[in-house]
Amino acid sequence: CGFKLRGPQPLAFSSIYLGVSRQSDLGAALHRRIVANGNTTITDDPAKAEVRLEILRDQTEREILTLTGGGKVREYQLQRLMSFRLVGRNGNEWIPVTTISARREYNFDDAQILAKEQEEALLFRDMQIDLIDQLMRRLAAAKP
Amino acid sequence: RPERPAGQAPAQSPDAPEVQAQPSAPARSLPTPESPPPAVALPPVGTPAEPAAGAAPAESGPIAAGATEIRAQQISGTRAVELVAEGNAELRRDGILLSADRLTYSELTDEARAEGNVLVAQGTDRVEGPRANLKIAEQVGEFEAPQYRFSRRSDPAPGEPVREISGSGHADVMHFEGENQYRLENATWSTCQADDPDWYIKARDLELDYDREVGVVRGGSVIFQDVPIFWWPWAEFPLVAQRQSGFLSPTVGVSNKAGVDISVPYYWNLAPNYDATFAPRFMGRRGVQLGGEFRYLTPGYRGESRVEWLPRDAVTGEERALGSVQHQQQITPNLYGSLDLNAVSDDQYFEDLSSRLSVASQVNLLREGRLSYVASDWWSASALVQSYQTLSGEDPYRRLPQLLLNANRQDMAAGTVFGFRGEYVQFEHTDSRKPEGSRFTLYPQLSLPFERPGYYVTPKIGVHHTQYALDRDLSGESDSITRSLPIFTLDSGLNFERDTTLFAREYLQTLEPRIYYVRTPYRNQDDIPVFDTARFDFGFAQIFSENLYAGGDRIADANQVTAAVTSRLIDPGTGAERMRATIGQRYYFDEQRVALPGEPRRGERRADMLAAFSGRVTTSSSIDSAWQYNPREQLTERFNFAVRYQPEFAKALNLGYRYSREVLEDLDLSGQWPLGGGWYGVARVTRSLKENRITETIAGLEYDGGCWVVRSAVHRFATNPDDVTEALFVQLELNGLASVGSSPVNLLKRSVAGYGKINEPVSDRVFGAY
Repeated sequence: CGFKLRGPQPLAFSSIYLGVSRQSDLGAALHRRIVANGNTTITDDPAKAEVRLEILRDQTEREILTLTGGGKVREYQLQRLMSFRLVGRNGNEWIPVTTISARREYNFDDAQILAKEQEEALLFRDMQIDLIDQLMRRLAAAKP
Repeated sequence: RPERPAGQAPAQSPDAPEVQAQPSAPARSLPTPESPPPAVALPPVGTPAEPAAGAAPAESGPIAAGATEIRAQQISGTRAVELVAEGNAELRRDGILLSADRLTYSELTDEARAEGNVLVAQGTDRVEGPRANLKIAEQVGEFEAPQYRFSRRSDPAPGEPVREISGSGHADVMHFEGENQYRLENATWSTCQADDPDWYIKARDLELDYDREVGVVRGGSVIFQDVPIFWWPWAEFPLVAQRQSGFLSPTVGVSNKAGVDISVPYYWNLAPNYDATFAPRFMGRRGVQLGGEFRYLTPGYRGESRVEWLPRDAVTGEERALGSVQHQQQITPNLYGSLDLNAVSDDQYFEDLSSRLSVASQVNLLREGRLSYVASDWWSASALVQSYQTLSGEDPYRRLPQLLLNANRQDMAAGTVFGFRGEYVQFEHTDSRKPEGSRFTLYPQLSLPFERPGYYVTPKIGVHHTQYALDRDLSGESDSITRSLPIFTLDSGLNFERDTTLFAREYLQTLEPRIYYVRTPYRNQDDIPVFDTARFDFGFAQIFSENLYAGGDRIADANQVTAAVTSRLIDPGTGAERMRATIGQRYYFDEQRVALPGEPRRGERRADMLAAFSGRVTTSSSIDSAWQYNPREQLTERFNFAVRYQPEFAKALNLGYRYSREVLEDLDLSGQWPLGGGWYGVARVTRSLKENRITETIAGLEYDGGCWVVRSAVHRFATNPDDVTEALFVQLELNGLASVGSSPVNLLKRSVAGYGKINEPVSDRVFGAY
């Protein structure tokens, strides 16, 4: 049906400065993805990189989705937002400020607040992976 | 050329060199009169110069920086002493234009006297009037009876659009007090563009500080439609609509719980980084409540404290109060501390005294202190002391304390990743019938992520070791329990792609199968009490986790595989995702043995099936849906469906259906639509089909008056099975200044997907910035 295994798709830049620690979940995942893509190297010196990724906002939000008949929260909607831009060495924008987001819903129960706190953390991590996927797609489409 | 406020980054032009971090306009640091301009391009004295266009915008043109150019029909006087220019006289220097019928300029003092049709223009800023005296370089002087307009661009948060805010008005006298500083006597200020503004600030003394971007009013009032709506002796207001507005105005509302609800806050700016608000609140049914807030912000610490006190509630006859403290502090470069303490006098406090749903639905009020130590970028430690004030239902356990150590080392030999989680918690409970004790957990893990563009494989092995020491074990079995088990997971996925066309648009379509295997042996955990553990909700993130439970008291035995396929449509030009569909299921090879007390054990091999679809189906409509299907009993366990039609800004219609078997069945209708003539309607109805009643209703009406908006909303929601809160919010918002009245904006944004705040444009006016 026309599907092909994704081959190496070199990014349009030869080196990138990420500006996030490689030991963080975000930095490590980006690092692995970019290296797996082929020709791009990751440098620790923003002055030497052809482009630099600027993560301008990484924000989480929680909103009430539904209530119980007793007026208590039954479901929450979580949202994670990330704003970034990709800037070239001479200040030109490869990608202007872009916001990507991921949302998850989950059942809440005030009686299980300690467990739900950890479930929320799991969902925020899952959303981060989702955002890294989206970010990589954007980087792959970036052109000078 | 529009001027930018100081400190704001210039717009990037594709070929601008990176070092050009200065505004592209000529530098405005003008030479002082003591060091005369290097080149004064004055035309020969006494010879008529070519007439210039009277109101041309300031243009530095070919004049050198710091040089002065004077043009007029008639120029006389002595160079270096005093020049008199008459007839369309113009003086230009460094982007400043001073024009008048008659100009007298003294080069020695750098002072210009202007008479008749005087205009001072700089960028888009303009001040016009009959007479002015101005020292050009210092920008010091007086302007008589001026009409003025100053424009500045906001410095928005990332992803939000830049807005240009114009403030204009007139005064008896305007004092220029140096660059970006103006003081006006008997002045007005408004963001309305019209000569006869619908609203304006009228002040005995008005300071416009465009460095701090605040206006300071002394003896001022706000006039709306020629009626003074409030007065205050001193206030600050934002000139560029900064979020941290110092300006506070009364809020007015009505609710069935509080009656007429009026709050009149007073604001003190104690120092640039300290402020306090005192807010007496009158509630028709309950009496007068006193409230106060204190905020501070320094490089090393920040925080806010809040108190509310109702000496005697006329309904209950009791004293009611709230206290709240939030504080964050950087103790050393690696050590952070935070404190979050909240308390109310009684369990009904929020239900009775707040008409905001997010507040009224609160059950557990946090009380915690936390210390975090970030040693390096690969390990961190924290200590937490936490309890809650619980307003209804059962208290959660207190963690007194919880100590955590997390490590994550990415660059180990042969590409391995080392992860570690260590935790010590002492659980305590207010109910003496509940067991108490401590839990000590060590969970080292090694993984080997392997990633290629077309696929990835991540095997991971960990050893989960837990030790309980129970202080108050009511089962009486044993006070020490040890649990130790290996956990193996294998995560793998493939990436297929193809080009496709849908609705005459090209897309990249992906097909991403993912398989996740978990193997955890069985350990009997029936003696372990349940401190912080509950079964995960059933969703995609949760079925791809190694444990069935959130929390550390149960580690489910597992020999299971989760398989899912995701397909996305991606815009090949930008990489933006337009649609996504996922289907997945978990298969168990063994029967479940570990369970929580009272939890039925699973007998079947196949778990429920999950499917989800979301995306923009057409340019103006989007769908978001999820389905959980039970194949054993052939039942839908959960089904959510939401469709949104949003053809334009402030035009949105939503239909939502949420079903959860034996839990809820809700139907939601909401929308915002222009009604014509500047009027907009907003509404939402949520009907519980299961309980057969309406659980939430919102009806709102908004009017856009150009430079002001009035918005009202009625909100009715259930607070317990036979009680509702009804509240009316009314808000008058003066664009760029502040709002009067309780703001229903957050309520509308939360309740009506796609709600567009009618006087606040967003970058993509239909679907927002994302």
